[in-house]
Amino acid sequence: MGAIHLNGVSKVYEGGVVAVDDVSLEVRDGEFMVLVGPSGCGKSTLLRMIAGLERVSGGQVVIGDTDVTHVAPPDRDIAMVFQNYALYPHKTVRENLAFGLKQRKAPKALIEERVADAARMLGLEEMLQRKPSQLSGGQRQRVAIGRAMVREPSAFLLDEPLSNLDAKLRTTMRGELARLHERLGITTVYVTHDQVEAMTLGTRVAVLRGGVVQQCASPQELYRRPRNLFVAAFIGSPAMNLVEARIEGGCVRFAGLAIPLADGSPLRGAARDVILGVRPAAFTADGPRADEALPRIEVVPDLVEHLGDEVHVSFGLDATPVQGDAVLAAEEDVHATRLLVEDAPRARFVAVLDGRTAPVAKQPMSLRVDNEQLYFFDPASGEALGLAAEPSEQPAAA
Amino acid sequence: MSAVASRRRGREQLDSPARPVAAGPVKKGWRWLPFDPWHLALAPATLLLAAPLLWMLLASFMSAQQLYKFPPTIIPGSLHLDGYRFLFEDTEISTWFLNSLIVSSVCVVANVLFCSMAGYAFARMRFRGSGITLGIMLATMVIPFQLTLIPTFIIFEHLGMIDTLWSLIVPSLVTPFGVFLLRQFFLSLPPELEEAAYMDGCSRWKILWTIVLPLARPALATVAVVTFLLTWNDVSWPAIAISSEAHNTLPLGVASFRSRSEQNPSAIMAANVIATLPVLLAFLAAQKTFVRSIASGAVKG
Repeated sequence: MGAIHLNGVSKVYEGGVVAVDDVSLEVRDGEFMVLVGPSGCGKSTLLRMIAGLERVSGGQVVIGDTDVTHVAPPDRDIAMVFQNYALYPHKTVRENLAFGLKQRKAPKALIEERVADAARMLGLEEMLQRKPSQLSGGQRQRVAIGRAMVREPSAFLLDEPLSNLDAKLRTTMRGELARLHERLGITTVYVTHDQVEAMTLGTRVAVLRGGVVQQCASPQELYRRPRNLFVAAFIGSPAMNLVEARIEGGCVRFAGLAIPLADGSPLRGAARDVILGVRPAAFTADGPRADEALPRIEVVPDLVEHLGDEVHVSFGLDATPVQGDAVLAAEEDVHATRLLVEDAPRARFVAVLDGRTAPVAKQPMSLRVDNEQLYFFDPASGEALGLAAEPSEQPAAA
Repeated sequence: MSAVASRRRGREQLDSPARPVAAGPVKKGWRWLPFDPWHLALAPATLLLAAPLLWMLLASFMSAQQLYKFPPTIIPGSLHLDGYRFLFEDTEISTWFLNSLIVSSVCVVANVLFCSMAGYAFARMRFRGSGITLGIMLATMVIPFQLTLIPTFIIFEHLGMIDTLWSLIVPSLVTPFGVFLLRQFFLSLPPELEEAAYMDGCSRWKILWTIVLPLARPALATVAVVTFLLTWNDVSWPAIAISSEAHNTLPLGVASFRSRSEQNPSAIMAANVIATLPVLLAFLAAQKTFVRSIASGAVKG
């Protein structure tokens, strides 16, 4: 009932600015779809087009079996939660919750029942008589969600609903949202620029850049098999390490290092320039517990961050860092602070190691690299080359 | 020793150490005052501003002899109602008051209604020529009244409205100031509020009435008070448009009556009291929201 189909949807603003470019996407009934991307990628515009708040320049929006491209928002049977909650400040929580049903002239008894249900489910029973100004950020957020819930729409649209909350509350609310979706089972489209939110909440995640869907897949698939450089750079925290390299003789060579390719790699026989991607988690500290079959590299950490369970080790390598548009666009949002300390044209790497290891800054150390978790991209197009196969599908390491 | 006294002594001990007096905060020296030291400066200023009003009120209850006495009496020994009696028995002040009340009330209601609708349209609706229309409307604010006086008179004469209350009401039904003020206020409201209401099933009209206008109460109060003040106190245009005494507004009636009642100063003061009272009451009634509106404008820039 609540499936959403976007068929070649575009949005062109006055002056020819293309915000959304020929997007085709299917959100299955009951699915939690996350639209993620850096600022200005068109994710909010796309959501507003589904809501009907933004006119569609081209294409078709279908909700359920109905083409709603030219249907007004109130008639689309969808509810939206806004970034700033958009609670009516002059109305009490009860009035806010009941407002949508009242406008639809629902019977009084039904309104009261639905409001009571939503209040119970969201823990708002004690504050039904309060005004939004008397609520905390988290409570306001609940009211906003409750307001969408009482209408029992066929789909929820959420536009960065957690971005105004502090980090701790955001984590709590994230969990609650996931539980709520599991309980209600209503089709949900969720917009965020935070890839952690995207990865933890989404049944599937659509990564957008420049109004174009770069990849739409499950979080695991996005992480393990990014289709291009942008997705690779955007998904994952810390971000994937990217460096210009060359594949030759079954090895990938960069910064004076030569890492043998995994046995099953389709690129083993190739000889070409590539962009190499290494997930920070693909490194392990060399030691008695390390897998000796994995290639080893020597590095000098210039920054060591102990986070308890894990240690982030930053080091530079004498290789050309990747500064293509795709990477810069992905970094703009996610790792802008890293660029502030970029002092030399060296490739910066981050390794996420087990928290029990004790690396020391400026002290040379050995790292093992899982060569099954190497990613290769075409330097010109940024498209993934010979996608890294799932570990389960790999033959046993030699 | 009481707890308060011991606390005070404790505080004095804390304050007393070798710190030089001049280096300490100025406020500390005024701690013995039961109010903020700023009040010492503000109270005389308030008195200065209130003095003419108080004098007007007192003088309206004095006789001519008490008023012309030298040195002047500030507090009259006895109260006289001669001025008020003269006004209500020998002039048409009740009619003037009613005329003013009709003109001002209609203008206030019309301004709140029409300015909010026009302001909302300029703030939120996209239509061809909206920018130019707004520009032209704002440009009229810089044209002095004296320039439009004669054309307005000619138009109203053609319409047959001269010397009727309509000639005072119609030109003030909508003011560019009101439209602009409300437009700016509406722009400061988050558009998501209206979008949420739209998705909840509200039409444009309903959004305006149920969401936007209740939130715009401070701005609406400002428009109402300013319109009331302007229309109630206006003398220039009524003096030109109105010729019969039965259609005089209160300020116009008082002005004409003043010129022929120089021998009855208490009546002039009484007339002024009656003319000022509604303005004061209007301001006091809307004071809370009015001041909040000014303050919020100041904070939001």
